[in-house]
Amino acid sequence: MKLRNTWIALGLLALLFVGFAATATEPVTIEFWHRFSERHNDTLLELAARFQERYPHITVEWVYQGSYSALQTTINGAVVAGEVPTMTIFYENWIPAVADALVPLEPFFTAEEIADIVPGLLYENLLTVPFNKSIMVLYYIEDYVPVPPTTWQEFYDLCVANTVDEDGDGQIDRYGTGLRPASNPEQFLALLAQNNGTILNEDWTEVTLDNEAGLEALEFYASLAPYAWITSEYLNSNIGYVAMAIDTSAGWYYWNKAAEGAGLTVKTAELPVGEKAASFIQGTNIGLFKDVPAEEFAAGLLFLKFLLEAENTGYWAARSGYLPVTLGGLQSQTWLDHLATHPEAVASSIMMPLGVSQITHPNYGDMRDVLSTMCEEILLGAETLEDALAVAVSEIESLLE
Amino acid sequence: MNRSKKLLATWLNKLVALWWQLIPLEWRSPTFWKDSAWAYIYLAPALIILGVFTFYPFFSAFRLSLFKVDIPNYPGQYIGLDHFRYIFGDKYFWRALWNTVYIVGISVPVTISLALLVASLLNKSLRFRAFARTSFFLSYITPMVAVIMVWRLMYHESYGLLNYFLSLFGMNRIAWLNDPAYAKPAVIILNVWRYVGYQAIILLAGMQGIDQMYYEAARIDGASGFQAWRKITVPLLTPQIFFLLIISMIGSFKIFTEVYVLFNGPGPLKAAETLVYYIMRQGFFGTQHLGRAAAASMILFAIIFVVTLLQMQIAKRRVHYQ
Repeated sequence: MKLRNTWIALGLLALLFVGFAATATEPVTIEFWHRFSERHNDTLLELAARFQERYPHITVEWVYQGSYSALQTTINGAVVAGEVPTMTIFYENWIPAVADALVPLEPFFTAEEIADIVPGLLYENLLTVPFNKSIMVLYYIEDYVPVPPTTWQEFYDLCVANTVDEDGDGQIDRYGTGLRPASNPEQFLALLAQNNGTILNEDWTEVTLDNEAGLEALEFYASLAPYAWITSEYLNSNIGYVAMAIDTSAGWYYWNKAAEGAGLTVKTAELPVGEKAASFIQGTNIGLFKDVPAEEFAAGLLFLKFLLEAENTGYWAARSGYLPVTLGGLQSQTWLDHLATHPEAVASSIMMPLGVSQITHPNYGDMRDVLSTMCEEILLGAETLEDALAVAVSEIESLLE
Repeated sequence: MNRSKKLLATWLNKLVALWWQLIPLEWRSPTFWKDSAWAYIYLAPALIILGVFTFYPFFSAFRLSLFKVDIPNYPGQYIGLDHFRYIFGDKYFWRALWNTVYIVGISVPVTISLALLVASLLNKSLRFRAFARTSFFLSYITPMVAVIMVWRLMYHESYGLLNYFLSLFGMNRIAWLNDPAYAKPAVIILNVWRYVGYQAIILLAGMQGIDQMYYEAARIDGASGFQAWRKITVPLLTPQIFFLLIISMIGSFKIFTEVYVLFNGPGPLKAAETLVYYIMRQGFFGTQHLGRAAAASMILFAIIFVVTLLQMQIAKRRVHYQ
């Protein structure tokens, strides 16, 4: 398989040089599918403009494709119809379905370039490279939690202390934290990563969710239930109802807006540490399609490399609220300047090199569903932890076949 | 040889004659075809649109339901009825079916009953009748997502309007959107509120079409207002009630947006997951089991089809057109 991919890549490389040499000055348009909201438009256009300054004959056309699920459906439809764009963003678990339509990019990158990518974001054969990434951090309302917790025990204690009935009517007016088991099982996955736990073993032949590390992480997660607002809503939609929350760094814009509206101060911190400091990275990657003209592929590859350059990934992160995806980007001047004026980004920037990503197993979507159900059943008391875990393990096992 | 040829010719003639007999009389006339041709020409645009956007997707979805979809090698491997077997063995399908039946079973009769009540009141010579009529219709014409977002706020656990009213009566807050016990009621209340105005307007139009002669005859016979309503208005409204029953039942079976926007998911413990949500979850929310989603949509089609047929059978006996 690897050998075949190498040959394909070498063939494409040859095509690339031929195509590029022949058409170096011919105008080329790259079609880039995405789903970034309107507030990112200016940044995307600025990136395209900077790129075009360097390569005047290449035009980048950003094409908005609606929601993530709409984008996934459109990508799949495009592959079936043979009408693919030059490049698009992907979630990891979308990749296996269209892997044969993508170009493994490893041969196009030097060892230094690959080593520069944040370790938790490297995928097999570099079938895609990371682009817009965020990481789970701790949000806390300073009015209630003046000093953020640094360990699981401190976090638990603060959750207990901040679950309060302020007006004495027998109903809780503020919870220590908020948990979104159905819509955000990544909260649990962040704790799992901190406890050295994983869903599967390295070669995906065995479920490891129920080993000691997994069980401990799940027990800690479940212990938060009495002190947590359990919901599927965005936690910042009810600002002040929770004192702290494990949430994605990409949500800062909404947290801050809500807090300002409510006259509260929200801050971020690194996640309280379990066995080790770690967190869960979310977000999409970029892939390049095979079935495009050589000159278009070449132009797409140039743009991809441009986006990974330290200053550019730093610029994109600073403007969008995501994170630089390379170690160089995390040290770039643009990003460091951003951190100096945006303290909320410091925690995520520190955590980024320690992050883990979702696995690229073709059935990860189903596995995530199983995890969501398990977390929800445990937190809402519909099943005991042991029973819910046993069912989840058995269902994930059946997804390995 | 000649004899057998003759026999064959005779049988063929008989067959043609029989076939000719089977053709309706009007079909035999060239005028019929000339007239019909124009009818079909007029119908053609609608038929083409229906064909492309309804029939083709329907048959295509049916075909897809028999395949394990493989994107690069679309449609993938033929697996017969495996998706149907999976769905019938999936506890979440049965839960979604129960949730849907529960929502349909309560919201449809409640909405029609309330609409009948509202229409009867609007049919009286009330002051501000035009204003009241418009107000009731507003819930239907306001964009659905906007309406649901407002309801999300009203259902909100800590600052929602509904819990505020409950607190006035000393009642505890209800986690409308986060407690599995209240997830379906939350959808039903929203659904009833949204459609009651529209249904009332349809029924009101029906009421205003009832000949006054029936009411005058009833009055002469000494019938009270309620008796006239029960014995004249309601029976003569059965065509409209039947129409509303069919469309609201089909609509309620297809509930999706209400659940999706209200809960940002299928509700706590999937307590409000409807059949359409189940289909979407299988096919489009991260998992992309397109064949399975197509199979589930075929099952939903079959359910709606059978229930509608049953309703039509009942309607033959219960609906009075004059």
